[in-house]
Amino acid sequence: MPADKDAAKPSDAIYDLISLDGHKNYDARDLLATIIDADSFDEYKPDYGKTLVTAYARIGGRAVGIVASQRLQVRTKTEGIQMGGVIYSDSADKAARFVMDCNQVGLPILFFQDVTGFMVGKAAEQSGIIRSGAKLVNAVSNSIVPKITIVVGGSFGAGNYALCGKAYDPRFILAWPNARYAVMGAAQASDTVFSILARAKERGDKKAAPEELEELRAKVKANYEEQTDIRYGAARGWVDAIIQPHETRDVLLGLLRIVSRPPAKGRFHTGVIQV
Amino acid sequence: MSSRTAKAETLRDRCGKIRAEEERLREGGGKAGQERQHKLGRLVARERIARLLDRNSNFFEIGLWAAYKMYEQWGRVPAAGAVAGIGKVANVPCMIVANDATVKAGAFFPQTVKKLIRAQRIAFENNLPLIYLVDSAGVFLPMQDEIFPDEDDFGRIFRNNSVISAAGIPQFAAIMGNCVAGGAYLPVLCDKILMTEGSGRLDRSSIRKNSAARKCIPRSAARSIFTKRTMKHAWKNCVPWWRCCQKLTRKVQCPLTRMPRNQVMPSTI
Repeated sequence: MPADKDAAKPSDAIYDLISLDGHKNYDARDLLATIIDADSFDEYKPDYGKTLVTAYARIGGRAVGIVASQRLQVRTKTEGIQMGGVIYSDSADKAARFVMDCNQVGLPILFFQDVTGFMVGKAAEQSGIIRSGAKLVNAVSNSIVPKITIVVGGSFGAGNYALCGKAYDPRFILAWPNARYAVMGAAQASDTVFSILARAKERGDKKAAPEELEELRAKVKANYEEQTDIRYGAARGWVDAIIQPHETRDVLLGLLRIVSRPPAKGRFHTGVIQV
Repeated sequence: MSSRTAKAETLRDRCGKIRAEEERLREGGGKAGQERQHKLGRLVARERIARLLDRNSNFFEIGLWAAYKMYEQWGRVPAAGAVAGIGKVANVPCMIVANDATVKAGAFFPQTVKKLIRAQRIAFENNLPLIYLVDSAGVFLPMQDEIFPDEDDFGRIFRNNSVISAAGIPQFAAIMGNCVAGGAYLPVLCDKILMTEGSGRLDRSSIRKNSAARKCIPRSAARSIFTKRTMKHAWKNCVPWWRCCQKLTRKVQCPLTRMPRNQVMPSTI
């Protein structure tokens, strides 16, 4: 094994890179630079499916595969502008392929989640977003190599699933204190919940007073935001631990030693893949 | 630096808050509870773990936030009344689970069960020997309906004990306080059981004292677990708490020679 190297950037740089509210965009490569060994970053298909960064790297000399959400807005020749933190068909395809590669050579995979979900809309549907997403879910679910997930920001909707959320057998799943966890963002979700409750309230001839509805809306929103906070999820076992961002590399050094104890079991093969 | 002008909470602030709250969670049932344990001549869960671990081993804790702000009608249940994590004993990384008797007498809430099952799963997948430091009043009876029967409920712990044992992963239990009713399956299903002097209460009399418990736990079940032979086995290993740690350390060492050799993942790409 090569001699230990430090990360290229000091771990404290994370605090300048990302914000608590998750509004600040950043380059996933900058985040990784505070965690992986210096000069070990070898990106897989950097020009394709850019909203997910896939790369081979080393941590403390140990080789790993990395799938990380890219929070920068990106542009590709064929797809045009793509929003950061969103999974598109091309990024899902790329990540699925990469996950299979890691299984082929027996590399543990690290998932860095800061994801708002899969792309929606007509164009996305026509590009086969569900099919590509299913492919990624399939590859991740059937992986035989150890998986470790770190929630470094949002973890919303099917993005949580595809990037190895708790239900996808991560050996360890960790979160930063700024992590947010829910089926969708607070604004959209609380509107939907509110409309369901408001309709239930108004069932029959009764009309709810506007101030009553306003109160309900505020309550629903506050409630949803509380549930999105990582402490709520950690209380329910959705993550194994909340870790300090600057300690991520040290934690991973220890965990990688642990996950590589047993040899991989079984052979890698996926389920039926939609094409 | 520009964000400093705004009063909004920063990531560093939140990290500090989380760290402070974690310190509080680590206190378990607080000073009063700790003193109660000490008066009984017993250590609290974290002290036990600290003495069990190798001198320079760190402890990667899991599920510290379990049950945070849940079950508020029953009061606080910090860390779901159990401590779990990975640390080195006799230079071997082990998963250690300890009931925290300062929190509701170490009773099992739904999240306690979930946490223990997660700890078992992590141990199973990563080939880590398991050490249970048992000091628990058993299922938290007012919530038995949410703990008792399902595949991720209390019974699963013992199913896992059996499956982990069959997989050749060593399991050790040290009974260091209460260990009653169904909860006593856990040590009995381990490879090695130790017991500290004055602890246990494995017999039926302690169950009988609690009329609420009596209704829920069939006496025959309790009787069948604690046959004379089991009791004898446990008592033969009965040692004071300080030797319990020493013995555990020794026992972790010996069966590990039979464990599959650590295999390092291919480091070439």
